[in-house]
Amino acid sequence: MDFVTNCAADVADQFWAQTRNGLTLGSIYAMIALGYTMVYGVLQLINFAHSEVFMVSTVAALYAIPFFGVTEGDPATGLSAVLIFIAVLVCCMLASGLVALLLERLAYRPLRKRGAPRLSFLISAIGASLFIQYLFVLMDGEHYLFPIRGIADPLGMPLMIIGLALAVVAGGLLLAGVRRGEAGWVDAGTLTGFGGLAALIAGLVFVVKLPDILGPTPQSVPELFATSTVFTLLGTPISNKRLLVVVVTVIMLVILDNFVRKTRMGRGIRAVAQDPQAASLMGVNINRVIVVTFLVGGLMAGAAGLLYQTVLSAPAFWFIGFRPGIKAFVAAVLGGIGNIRGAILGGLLLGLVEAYAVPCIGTQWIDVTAFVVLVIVLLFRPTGILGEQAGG
Amino acid sequence: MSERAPTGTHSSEASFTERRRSWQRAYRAQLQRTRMKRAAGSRALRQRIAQEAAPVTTAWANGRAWVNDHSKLTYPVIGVVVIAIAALLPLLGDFVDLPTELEQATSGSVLARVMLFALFALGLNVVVGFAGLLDLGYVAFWLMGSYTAAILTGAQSYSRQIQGGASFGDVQEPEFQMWMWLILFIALGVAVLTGIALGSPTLRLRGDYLAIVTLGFGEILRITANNLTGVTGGPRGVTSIPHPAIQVGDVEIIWGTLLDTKYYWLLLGLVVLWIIAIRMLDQSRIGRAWVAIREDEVAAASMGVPVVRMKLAAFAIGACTAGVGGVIYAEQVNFINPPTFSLIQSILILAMVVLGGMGSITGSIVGAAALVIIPDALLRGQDEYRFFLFGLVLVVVMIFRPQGLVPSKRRKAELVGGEGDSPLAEA
Amino acid sequence: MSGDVLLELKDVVVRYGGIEAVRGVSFVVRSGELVTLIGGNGAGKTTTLSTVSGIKRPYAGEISFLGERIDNLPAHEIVELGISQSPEGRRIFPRMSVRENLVMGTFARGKKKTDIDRVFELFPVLKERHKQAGGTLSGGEQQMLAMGRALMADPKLLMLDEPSMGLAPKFVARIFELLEEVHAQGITILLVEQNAHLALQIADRGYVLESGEIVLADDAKKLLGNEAVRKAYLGED
Repeated sequence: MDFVTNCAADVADQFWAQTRNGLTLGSIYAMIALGYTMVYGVLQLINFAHSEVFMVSTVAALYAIPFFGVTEGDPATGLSAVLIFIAVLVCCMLASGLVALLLERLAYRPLRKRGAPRLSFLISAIGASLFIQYLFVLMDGEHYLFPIRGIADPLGMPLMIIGLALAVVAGGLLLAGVRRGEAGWVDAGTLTGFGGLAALIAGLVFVVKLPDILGPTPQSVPELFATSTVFTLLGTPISNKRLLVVVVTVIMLVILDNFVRKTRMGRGIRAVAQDPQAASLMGVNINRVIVVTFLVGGLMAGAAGLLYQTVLSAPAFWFIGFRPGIKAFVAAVLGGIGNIRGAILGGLLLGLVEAYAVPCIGTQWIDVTAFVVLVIVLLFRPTGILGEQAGG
Repeated sequence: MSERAPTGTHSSEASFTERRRSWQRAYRAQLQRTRMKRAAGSRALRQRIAQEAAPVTTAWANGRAWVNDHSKLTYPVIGVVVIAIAALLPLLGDFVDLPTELEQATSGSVLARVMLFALFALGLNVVVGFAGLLDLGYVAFWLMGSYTAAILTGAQSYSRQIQGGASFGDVQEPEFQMWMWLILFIALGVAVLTGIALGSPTLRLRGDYLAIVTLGFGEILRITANNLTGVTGGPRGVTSIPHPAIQVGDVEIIWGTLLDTKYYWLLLGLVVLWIIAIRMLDQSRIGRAWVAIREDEVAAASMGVPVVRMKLAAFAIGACTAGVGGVIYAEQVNFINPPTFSLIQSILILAMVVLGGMGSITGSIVGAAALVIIPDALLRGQDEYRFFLFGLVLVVVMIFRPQGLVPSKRRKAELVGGEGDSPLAEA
Repeated sequence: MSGDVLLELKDVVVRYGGIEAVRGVSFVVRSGELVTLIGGNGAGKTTTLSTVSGIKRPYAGEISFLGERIDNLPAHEIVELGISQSPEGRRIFPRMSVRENLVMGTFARGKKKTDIDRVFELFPVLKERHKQAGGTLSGGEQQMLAMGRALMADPKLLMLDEPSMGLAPKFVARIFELLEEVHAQGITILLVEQNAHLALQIADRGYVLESGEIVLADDAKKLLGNEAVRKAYLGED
């Protein structure tokens, strides 16, 4: 009983501050959750690798912020801060969107083509997630693309030389073939050309080091602008960063809502979510809808990544997507997966629950709350708070 | 019939769209022709190969048929031979001069790890392969087994006292007693109870929810082990878990350090035991119930299959396997701490099951062997590559060979999929 | 009535796994006709339609529309060519309003205000309920919505799959009346039906499908009089 009364006192004590924290973090969860929920809506697939889409955004921030002239200890101010933030936001969104597209293309579409069972999709998603994480670990400028040096070292250079030689021969054959009008020579030239290209690529794979992008340790991202209190509400100071999170989230959600409700593509997405076969009979290009859905989810996750980084001063790190990713998924299920409004509600709710739990159970237990909430919700309302209403 | 303008309002735009469409159509038609030609070519080639190889294949088929017909006699013989070869494998290096890589791969310690993971893979295979439940928190049961051993052997209280500043002379380092073999059974029970505790509320959930809930469960246990310092020793872990030993009268077998080949034989014995048990289960009513559930849960339920109970059974069997493996692991390695039991281990074991072939017992062993030995031999000390490649393996296997390296016949038909009847299958 | 060949199937074979659901079906639909495909359960009627609309791929054979091969086109491009379908089981978008469902029908082309009025004129019920979610309509209303949605595409060929399925007799009669009305407006229709009697009464020509093969092809009136058809499909001894 002591625990409960202490807990209640603690929460009451920090109520507004925790509400503020919960809403900021909740907005970010909501934005990531949208990606899960929209992809689930059209594909009935949990995109496990979505947390990696989020992670890539922090890496993009690591490069975009210095690119626009902001360095560690020298944050931007005034209008330039706003402009740089927007530019960085666009970069982060594009980077994440690109990764989401690649994911769809390489890890999911081949399975879709075969009409594979759902378990296969899940396993492929887990594999893709692991692959992306460790790709970033390996990209530290030290590791080679091909891990086994014992084989690569003697093979790499000769392969490249053979490749180049074949390319020269192919060029000669093609040129001579075209001049003399001998189709056989042209064919032979094309064939040698492809062989040369293959050898060259194989050699490159053996010889080339992966670029220095991230590596295994967290890299701190320069602070884009300094934290300051904008105003005080109910005795709680609201910082410019937290305000920014809420503003950007609201803008994104309004754009998304309009996109899904008002545009032709948005209608297509909703139609596919409700009945893919009927949608394709209406002339909806399902492939394009799926691509766009992944893209939109990726853009949202990209924005969320930058906001998360900004508000928590989080580093760029290969494992940083894991926790927010899992929690956003919990948020999506909480609200009713497939349901766009549910994702927003679930995100905010989960953010608040976590924030209120902090004074009671301490930060080291906080990650447990999300899962406990998930299990409780699924037990009593298996389809989430608002229900699963794909495309609703 | 009604007249209407083409899609675009602007005529040149429309004609461009039209042109693009006609190119696309021509391209697709060409693609289809090429594919058909290629298919015909490869069909002809396959037929020729089949013809040429006919004597060999028929002999092989006849041999197999004979073996199958006399299964009462042949299966035990084959089993004993395979087990004997497996048991003698670590001694190979003593008799024959092997290349370094191969010698490393057949060393007792590497083979012991193969067997440990083979045991885990067998257990997870029951859950994922037989019952079709994706469990991403399998490491949780391993953790339960290992911590059961750490606590019951007294190693946990010993490590706490040492970490608390007690000098080595004051506290007695735990030693293995004969009764400690019972820990295997206790851990088995603990893991089963954990499995049931997790399973009974969650197994009603749909497949993909189950995956995330089990993932969460694994994380919860790891976080708990990290924070509940009084029971588990917290982030500093538990040291000095005693190695097992047998002392009956004059007979004395002591399992020594991490590298002791005897661990391999111990684990091999367990794996053999498990294979026999799981084979029997798979061919029993329970096994058929699992197939039914995997194929169509609703239909299975309406036929009177107790769906939740059968899923729980699979979960419990998987859990107890990991519990037993966890005990041996703790005793072999001597030291455990919470990060040992992170999500990546669950995924690693899943990768073994998937690579070997879901639902296939041989596949689990092959998967475990491949994913322990190959990275160990080729990528010594380069863990980043290991996980990078595991991720790649999962995706590539799902795309090109979803049935795994050693497919189970029953499972193959389900995994290879239909003709793309799903409306989302790409045309 | 009959004009140019609109749709032509030549020896179309469709397989599910190893099983041939459609085994070498050939038929034509000419512009302005109402053609019906009748047959019992599992005869391959729905599979044939799905193959024309690109949901299923033929294993062998050719399908052409206005003289152009369409059997390797994706479904959405076939719709763009002017074939629209009211699918089996109606497949209304349950969480879109009636109006939104109808607008979905125009997805493949531009949207025109007049079209929706035309559909409302044909099916006044839909106008009354235009704000209601599609999933809340009754079976008959959903069938009208599915037909209206298919008409919204302003198709050159309208394909209907079992419009009478699961409807009360009163609604069935109404649906068939509406079908005749649509046909009278000059739209070419390919109708798949189990209710052979009704279908043959409004159709110009009919094909009888049995175990994936066409066993009879004739004018609808003649088929109505055919002894075998009467026995097998019209329930007369």
